[in-house]
Amino acid sequence: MSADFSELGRRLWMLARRRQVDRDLDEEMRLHLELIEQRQTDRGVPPTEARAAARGRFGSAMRIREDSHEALGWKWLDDLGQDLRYAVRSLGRQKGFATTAVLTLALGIGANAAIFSIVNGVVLRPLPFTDPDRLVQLRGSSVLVPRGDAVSNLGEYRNQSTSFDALVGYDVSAAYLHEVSSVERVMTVRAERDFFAMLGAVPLLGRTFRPDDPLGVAVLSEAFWQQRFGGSAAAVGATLTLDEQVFTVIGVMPEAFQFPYASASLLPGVGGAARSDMWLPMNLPAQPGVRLGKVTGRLKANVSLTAAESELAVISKRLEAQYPERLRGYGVYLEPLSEAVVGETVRRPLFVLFGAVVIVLALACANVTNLSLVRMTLRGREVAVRSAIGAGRLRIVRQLLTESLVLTLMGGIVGLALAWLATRQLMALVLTQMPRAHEVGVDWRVFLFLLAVSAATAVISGLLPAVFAMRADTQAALQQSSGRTTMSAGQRRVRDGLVIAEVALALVLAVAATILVRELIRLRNTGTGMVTSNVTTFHVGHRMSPRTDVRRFYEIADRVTALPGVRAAGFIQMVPLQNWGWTANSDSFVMRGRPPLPPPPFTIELRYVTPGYFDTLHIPIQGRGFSDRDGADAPKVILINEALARRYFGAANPVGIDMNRGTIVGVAGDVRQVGLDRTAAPEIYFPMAQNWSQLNELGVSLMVSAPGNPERVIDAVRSVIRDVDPNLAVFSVKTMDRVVADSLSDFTVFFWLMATFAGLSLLLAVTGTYGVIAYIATSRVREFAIRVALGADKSRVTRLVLGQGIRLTVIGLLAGLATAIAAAPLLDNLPISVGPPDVVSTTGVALFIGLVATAACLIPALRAASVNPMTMLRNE
Amino acid sequence: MRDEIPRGTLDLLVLQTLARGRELHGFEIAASISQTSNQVFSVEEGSLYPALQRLLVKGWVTAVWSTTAENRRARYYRLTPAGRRRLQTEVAQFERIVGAITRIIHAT
Repeated sequence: MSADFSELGRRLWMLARRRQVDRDLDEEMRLHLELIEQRQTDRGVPPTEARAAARGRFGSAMRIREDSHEALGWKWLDDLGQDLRYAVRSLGRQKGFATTAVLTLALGIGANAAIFSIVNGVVLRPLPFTDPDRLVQLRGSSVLVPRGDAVSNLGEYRNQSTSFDALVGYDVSAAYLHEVSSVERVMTVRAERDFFAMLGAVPLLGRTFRPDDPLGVAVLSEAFWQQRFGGSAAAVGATLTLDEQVFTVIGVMPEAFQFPYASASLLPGVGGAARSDMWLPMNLPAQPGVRLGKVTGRLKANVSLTAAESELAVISKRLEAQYPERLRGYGVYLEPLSEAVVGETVRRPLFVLFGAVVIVLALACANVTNLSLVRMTLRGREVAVRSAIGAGRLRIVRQLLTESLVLTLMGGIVGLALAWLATRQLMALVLTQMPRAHEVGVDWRVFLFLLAVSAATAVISGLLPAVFAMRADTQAALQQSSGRTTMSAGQRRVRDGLVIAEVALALVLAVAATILVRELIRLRNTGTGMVTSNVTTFHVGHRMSPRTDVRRFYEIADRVTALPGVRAAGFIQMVPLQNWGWTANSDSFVMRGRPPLPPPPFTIELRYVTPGYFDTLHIPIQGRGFSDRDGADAPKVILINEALARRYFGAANPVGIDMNRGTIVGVAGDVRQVGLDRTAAPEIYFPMAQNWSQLNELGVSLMVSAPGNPERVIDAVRSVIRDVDPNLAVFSVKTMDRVVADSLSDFTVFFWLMATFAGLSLLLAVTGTYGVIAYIATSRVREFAIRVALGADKSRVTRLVLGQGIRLTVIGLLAGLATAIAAAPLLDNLPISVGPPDVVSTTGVALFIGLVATAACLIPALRAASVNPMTMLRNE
Repeated sequence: MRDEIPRGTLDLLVLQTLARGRELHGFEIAASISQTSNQVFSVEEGSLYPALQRLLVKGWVTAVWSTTAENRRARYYRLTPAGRRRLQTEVAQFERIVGAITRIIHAT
């Protein structure tokens, strides 16, 4: 049987039959022994002598077995088993050391596993589609929006390009699902019919779109299907009424399918769950100039992204030449879908966090290394004895490394549990803000990573102590009476170096956390241009139809203003700091009878309001605001904000100027609309009554200012809305203060994580410093006792110990400052841009760390000084 | 007079013994080597059995349990075709080395 096996196969086969192999060997040796004995007896030697002689000749059966194992290549296995048993016994004897080390490592490894599992789920894991490498996002570019504009002329690109297997347009929008007694808003994706086929996505139930499907079919998400149909297979074939249109359900997509990921970002803060509820078929509108928000394509096999892009550029040029008026400066470019889904703003903070946890792990390693170094001095004699009775140096190193491997694996297991808990909490927190958050979990990659990190940690934290143990002077160690050895100069240098590095790394993280907290405080206190306290926002969904009467909204605003306790109320589409991006090009905003402004054009944000809006948020107005008289039949009027006035009219007073979009009747104060970290963009305000058709199905928000107790009026406001129009749905009622805080939420999550890691690293660095100083104090306690006995002042001893700690800390702080300044650019490009580290915060942090470290060193210093010399010396 | 078996030649001796004597158990291999060498070599059990394990792993010999003439269970080793080829290589190599050494010794 074994003749057919390769050598490796035979080795494994014998390894698997290990016990049998040993038994065979034993029996063979027994026979051999008997035969020797028999031969002796045959020659006339007395039996007892013959047996003794045979035994003596034969040597140790154990030795033969060991040699056979070595011949079979099993020695490492025997050694490993021995090392493991020894490691567990030896760690069991020092439970304090083992517990400290395991917990320290668990923190370091756990933090790494947690962040890695996020990076893995969000960035590393390929998108869950067929051949995801060939999927690309087609994006538009224009003079106004050079990157990330909508795509014009999708039909032309599709017809003329030969690089794609498919090029599919889709758009995300809200729709209203009408029930007998309620209205529910659902997030829908309208997609061309080869959407699913292009992605290679398979339904959970039923089927996806076919080329000949009519418009009235729908594919549901698993979550929506569960919620609405209780997961029943009968859902396929059922009908849903959306915006008075009937759709037949043809299939259900599995939970893992959430494409496009960004559907929640359509209406941040109001979109609810970060998911698409259903996919509906769409026809690409035939008219020229139609623009599509999202286009994804599948490149043909063997066509590279650059090749496809240059082909598209040629087509763009051709189209531009064909329609010079309409398409000047319009083009397209490609992005790998994976990068389009998880952009730089998501990747960057993740990588910064990853850097932070690597630092935490490095500190954990340093602490365990130092612990092991100290432990080595306590075990110097043990190692010396082992080496004196013949253990090879490599064998000893291996044994010590096995110990540190046992430690890190235990730390890894505890860390994995920590990571699992932490990741679940964290993902619940960022689910609506991070694409692919639902894909985060522990998979084989996380497992491999964890194993690799544990092994690397074992080597890093175990190798130095092991090498020192190997180089130790056996003779000297055996002569030491106490069983302890002192650290060699090399060991002391390593120990001190580690403390310095720890303090430095902790400072780097602490400085980063401080910059972030500084930024957070600054942003929280940024003037928004409005008074947000006591203001509550109600998102009111509505469905556009010719019958919708804009006067209802005016009526609601009026009746709410009249409620007791309400100071002012008004509607706006796109709540500041929550929703934005409804824009126009400055080219389309001109004084009557004048040419547009000279290029470059810029983007103007458009806002639709009822008259009470400005008063509700105390936004100052120069000139006059809107009134109820600015109705549909009255002359068109607009307000512009100060940013637009400055940019467009310079120092001139714009009030009274006739523009193509209406007469400017006033200038409103600047409001931070897009983000707290961005200054106000140019804006035009329109009265809703005059621009009703501009409002889309996304709904409008009612802002209510009720001094004293804003919560109290919520129910009253709801009933007013229901009373005026029972078909209006009210969503996401929240205070304006909350809206402002939420606008920083992903930054806030990031900040808290960084602060946590900074705190952890500080803790590790301080305990590390304390441990080393305490060891130094203990190992010199005899010397101190003699000094005191000879008349040295006790405070001198304190200063001596403390000085050593302070020296290390200060060097560490200086190194850390240099590193922090060098590493500062890494914090660019975060969700919110932060400045470089400033002198005040960095010195503050450095002083703080210095103080904490000094305090930690003070404990052993005082203890060293308080030793009674007589007791001490008598004990020796 | 007894001599140490030169380093690295034990495999060769075992393979050669098996090539001549067909199936043998460990004791017989040792006895055969000792006898054929006119008691110059004495095979230490301590090296014989590890060597046999090594040859097994290499696939140069196979082993089966059987009974001796005295009806005792014993493990019999037999040369495989791969073992026979190996033996030829080792013999050729050994003869080359011995030849070279002999020439050096007898050089004048």
